Amino acid sequence: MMKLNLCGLYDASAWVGNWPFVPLRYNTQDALKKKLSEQGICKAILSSLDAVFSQDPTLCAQEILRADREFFIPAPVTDLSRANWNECISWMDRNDVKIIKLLPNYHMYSLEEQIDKLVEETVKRDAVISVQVRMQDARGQYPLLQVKDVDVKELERVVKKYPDQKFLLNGMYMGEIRPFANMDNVRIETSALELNDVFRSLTEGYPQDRFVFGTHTPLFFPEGNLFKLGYASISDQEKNRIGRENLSRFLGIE
Amino acid sequence: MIIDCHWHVLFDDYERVIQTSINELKRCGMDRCALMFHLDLYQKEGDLHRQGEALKKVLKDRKEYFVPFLTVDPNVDFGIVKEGVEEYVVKGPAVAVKVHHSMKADRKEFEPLANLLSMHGIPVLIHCWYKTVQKYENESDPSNIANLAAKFPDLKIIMAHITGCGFRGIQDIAPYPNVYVDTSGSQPEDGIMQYGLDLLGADRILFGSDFPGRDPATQLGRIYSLDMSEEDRNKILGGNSVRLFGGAF
Repeated sequence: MMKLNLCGLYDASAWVGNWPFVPLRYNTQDALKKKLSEQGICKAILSSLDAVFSQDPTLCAQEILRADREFFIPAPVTDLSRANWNECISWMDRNDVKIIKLLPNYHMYSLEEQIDKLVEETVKRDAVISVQVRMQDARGQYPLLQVKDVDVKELERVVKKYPDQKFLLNGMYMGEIRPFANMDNVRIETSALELNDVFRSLTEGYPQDRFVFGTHTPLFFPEGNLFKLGYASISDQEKNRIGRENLSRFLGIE
Repeated sequence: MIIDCHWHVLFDDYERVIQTSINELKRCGMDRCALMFHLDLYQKEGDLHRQGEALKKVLKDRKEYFVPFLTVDPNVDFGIVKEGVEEYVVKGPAVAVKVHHSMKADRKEFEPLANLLSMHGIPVLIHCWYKTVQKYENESDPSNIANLAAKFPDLKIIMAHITGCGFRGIQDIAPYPNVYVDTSGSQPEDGIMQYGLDLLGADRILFGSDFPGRDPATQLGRIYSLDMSEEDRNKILGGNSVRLFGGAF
């Protein structure tokens, strides 16, 4: 195996908690931090897997708010269809949260119909809205629980409507990125983007600052995305940009 | 030695893809890949001959990079299939057969091909997937592979796409020692590979990426994502392919 020479990476997609369908290896904060650190990752955006199916996702936010801030960047989930969606305002004001995560397909609401009220709060705080387009390949979903991917046409309209709002789009496929990659207010997380030598295609075909490295651990094993970046036929400077700088600039963190 | 046993080469543009393939092998630190021509799902008369001659042309001066397969559609008249297999696999240069999703593997019409391959000891890699959505009409799922394996215990079958076959698929084929599985399929999802390793053992798992739809480097990460002995890792990365496709080496 070739040495990957990757270090100081920022991971734009990590989760903690349980997924009903498979046992996960790195689903506690300690196990996740240990695993990601061993792989050369020094910061990770963290959300709660339990919030995907919880009757009250805000309860799941507490664990995320308490995460080790040296390593984790909290991205608690709110459900815009629920009356208590606005708990997220206090997360931003009292807990210095800079990213709010949305799962409109699992929480069964239309982004177009519900997002105005959140944007009103996030844009004035310069907070990022992270939209998870899918959690897994739909072909492999549990047959009794089929959840359609987020409608990317609707997502495109939403992102265009709010040019001053920063969006982080997670779990996208290659065929979906083109309209978003030209929008200055968007960053695209790369864990589900796949094609041979994908980072070369991305660096050749799109603006340099649009893509941010992510692993989607523990649903994905991190080695896959680390190999994707490590073996990419792009320069070390480009790897550093995707692996760290693009996200750190977007979030305004060191 | 790292051998990728699931690698598609678009037939209509094969000279360009062959060069890309060699570059990709070097980029990913891999030694060889399958040379599996990707044609129309339902083949035309003459496709086996065209493939066979193209294999010979490619392998003339680039043999060291490839494990050549003949892609066969079992819907084609069996006389033509038999002639093609005998001409280009039994005599070479191909060492194995690929069957895509043009016929479920346990259909009666599949049996003459299975019998022919079994008689000559030719391994067959069969596309396979348990899908909740987007299932193709004639696509095999692992239960079809298990039925085929039971009928032809001497036929060496590589069930493609471990991630697509999932836990249920691994359970289906576990009782049949003549069925192997390749590690390709979908996203780098955790859990399935470990399950396969526990249930099947390292001797029945072959590294494959499903290039070009998938990134070989990403898929290679799957093999390094698990704690296992170096001996087992080496079997999965290439040892098992050398054992199954010995004629290519």
